[in-house]
Amino acid sequence: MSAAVWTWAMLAFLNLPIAVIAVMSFSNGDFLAFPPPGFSWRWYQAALTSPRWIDAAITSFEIALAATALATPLGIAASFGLVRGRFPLRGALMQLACAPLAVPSIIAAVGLYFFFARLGLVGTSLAIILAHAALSVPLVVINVAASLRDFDTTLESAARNLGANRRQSFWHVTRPLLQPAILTGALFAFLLSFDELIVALFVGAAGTTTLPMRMWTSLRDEIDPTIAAISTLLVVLSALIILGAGAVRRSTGNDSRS
Amino acid sequence: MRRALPAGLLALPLFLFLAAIYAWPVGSLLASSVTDPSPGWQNYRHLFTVPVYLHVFFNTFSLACVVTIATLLLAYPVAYHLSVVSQRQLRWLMFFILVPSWTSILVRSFAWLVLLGRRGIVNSLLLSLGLLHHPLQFMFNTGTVAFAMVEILLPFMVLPLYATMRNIDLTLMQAARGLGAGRLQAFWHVYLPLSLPGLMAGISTVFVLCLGFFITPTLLGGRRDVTVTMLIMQQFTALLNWGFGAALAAVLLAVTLAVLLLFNVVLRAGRRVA
Amino acid sequence: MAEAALSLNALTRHYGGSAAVDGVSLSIAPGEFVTLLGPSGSGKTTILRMIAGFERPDGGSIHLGSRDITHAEPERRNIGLVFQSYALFPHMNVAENIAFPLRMRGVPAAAREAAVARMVSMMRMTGLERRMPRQLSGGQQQRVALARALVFEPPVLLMDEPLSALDRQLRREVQSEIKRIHQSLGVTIVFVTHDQEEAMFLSDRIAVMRQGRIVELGTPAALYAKPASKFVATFVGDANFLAGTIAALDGNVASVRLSNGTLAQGQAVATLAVGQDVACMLRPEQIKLESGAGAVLIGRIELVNFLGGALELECTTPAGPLKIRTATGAYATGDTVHLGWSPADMRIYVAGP
Repeated sequence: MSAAVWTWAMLAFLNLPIAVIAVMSFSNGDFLAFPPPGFSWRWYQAALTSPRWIDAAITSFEIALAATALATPLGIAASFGLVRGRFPLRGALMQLACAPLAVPSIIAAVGLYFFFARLGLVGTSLAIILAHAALSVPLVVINVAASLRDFDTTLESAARNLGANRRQSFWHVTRPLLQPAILTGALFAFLLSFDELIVALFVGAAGTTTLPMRMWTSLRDEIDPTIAAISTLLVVLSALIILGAGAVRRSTGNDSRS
Repeated sequence: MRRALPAGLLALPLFLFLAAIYAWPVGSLLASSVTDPSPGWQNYRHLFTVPVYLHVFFNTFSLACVVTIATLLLAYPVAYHLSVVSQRQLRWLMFFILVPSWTSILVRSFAWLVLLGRRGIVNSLLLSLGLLHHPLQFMFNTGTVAFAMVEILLPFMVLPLYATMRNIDLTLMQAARGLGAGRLQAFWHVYLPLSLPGLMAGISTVFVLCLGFFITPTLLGGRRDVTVTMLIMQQFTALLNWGFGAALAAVLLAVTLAVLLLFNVVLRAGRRVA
Repeated sequence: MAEAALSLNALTRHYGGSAAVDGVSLSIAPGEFVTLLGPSGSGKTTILRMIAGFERPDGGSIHLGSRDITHAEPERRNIGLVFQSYALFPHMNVAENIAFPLRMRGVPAAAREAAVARMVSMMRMTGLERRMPRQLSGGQQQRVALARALVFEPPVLLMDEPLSALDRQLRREVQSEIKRIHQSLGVTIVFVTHDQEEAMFLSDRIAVMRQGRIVELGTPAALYAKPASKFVATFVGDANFLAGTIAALDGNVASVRLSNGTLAQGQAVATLAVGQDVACMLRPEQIKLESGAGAVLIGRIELVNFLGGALELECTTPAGPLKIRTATGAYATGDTVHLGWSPADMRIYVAGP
């Protein structure tokens, strides 16, 4: 069997579950069934008009936005520090910065619960925002640091020689060329926060409910076709973000490599 | 010439942030494993002497091994194919790998729940085709959990493998064939060693992710399919055994770090030999 | 005497324990084209980087006209620089790249556009203004880099091995281009290269560098005809060396006994003593194919290399191997040739590295 056929088989395997959910979400019937009895938008309507779901979605959106806004500048600065700095153990520190992503999140979830409990912040959006920022910063660092490592520093020298001071050189030359990596990192940081469940469950507790949290409780109670609709919408969100990241990378073929 | 401030300082804000929001909370948690409910090592003693907990660790560990090996075997040819196709094809293939991998595990686990349930897709299909008379009980066993985990983690094995493979110079394989090596020999002696960095990265990523899996085993597993993460969850939410839960978390963390360290060391040793 | 456009005074730079640049002094007149020529590691690029401001000298000073720029920030030096890799900003098109220095100087838009247009037409790149660097050929990128470095009319232009990435044919064309621009603009140029043909083609004066020092400074003609050291003789142009010992001295004229016993006359380039071991240098075109009586050596042709308008003959002689350049003719491997030269052409150096 050729590698090509195997690959298509695996890709089908990977996308089959979510494709099935998507098909079922347009079901006419009251229960999840395959094939669905008829075509209908009713479950999407149910999802988009239900206050429970709308509130949860908005909460997730706001939290993800805030977490990304916090993680991105921290990540950019850290990338510069780790790639251009000259101090020992840079490699180890880079790995350390990525720890929140590498270590099972249950550990952070519980630790942060007690931490925020002592500060009286359990159940607040702020707590989730801070937690998610910590978890998603590695995504920004990985992307921006990779781009910085490949960056041709003679471009910055050229800018300085042509009359730009350090600030101008960063603004006119470095920043535009790093933009794709920054955007990619930010997009995926957003997605991570939006989809994150375990930490949100602990830290958000009864006070704040994100979309994943709402889905989780619904799943434990009954399997409602509304969840199929919401799941499909989430898949569409992921797809849009991936398309966005791809477009950003290809935008006018920006390349910091000379 | 005025010397600019050292660039290293720019990394400081992040590390201060992580120290406050990650290191300190996790540290306190680990500390509570020896202070809650009273100072001492009882929590750990309990963990290591009562067989149930060691069983859970063992189960989690073996599940992780099985899933990792299965994912590796499935992913290897896919990554290879990605490394040799045209740019245009690559973009499409990548899209269909990235979308599922960036879809929340919750959604993907839910999808398997739907597919393999009593009234799920597979059963309905088999029933309607007349191959079954009663719905099969797919669900709530370890096999289902492993199966779903393999599907979910497949992209995380493909991507690191691909990242390494795309840099492998294929003329080396041609050179090996020209020197008399058969297909299998060329693969074993030339290609496989060159793919090792990606392989190591993929294995360590997937293995560690397996250790931390919670959603999938909870939704799809049976009473006996308890992973460490689920156990920790139980201790904190249902049983309120905070100190013990913290001890479990500490051991999980230790195992995770050990695995990461092991793969790092193996990788570096492999590089030196190569 | 007119003030130097650029002067380096005892410029020094250390790396680790050794000196990359060791007390270099050089004074460049306005409008002059000076090349720093040397093998890699000779310090020529380090000097350029210090002039541009990317490295700080450990000692000495740099003056641009009367201004001391030794410690000035790069953006304040107002010096043009063409990098080896061109360093064109990939996210800006040709016009934006060229306009960049003017933007940094606060030149208003209308004046900027006019200056860019002038540069574009001078570089014969009209029509390419909206192209992005990756859409340009190597030669075109080179011209954009040059345009960008000249648009703000700097008093001095630095060029760091700018032609090393181009193939031979293109190099020739761009070299002529650079010469043309130099003559029409009259800008002072400091050029760095390891290619001696290029240096001779372009420069008013060449500073030959070795291990951080200038070993000789002179016009291409002077360096070619009368190199002061064996190193420069080998580095600039092709050189033949015949070993021998001094038989007699009369002022500057020395009589040398070559390794096969033949006596030859030449110019001593240093204080020599009778009996001293020496190396005698002859350029390939200085060796003539005599007939009969005037010959100093008799050789056998081993290889005939066709060079287009001339022939290179690799010969063995009793005194050592020689490479000869002559007009095309009927020569073949195995032919016997009679070789001679003018004593004024042969330069005698102390033997050794």
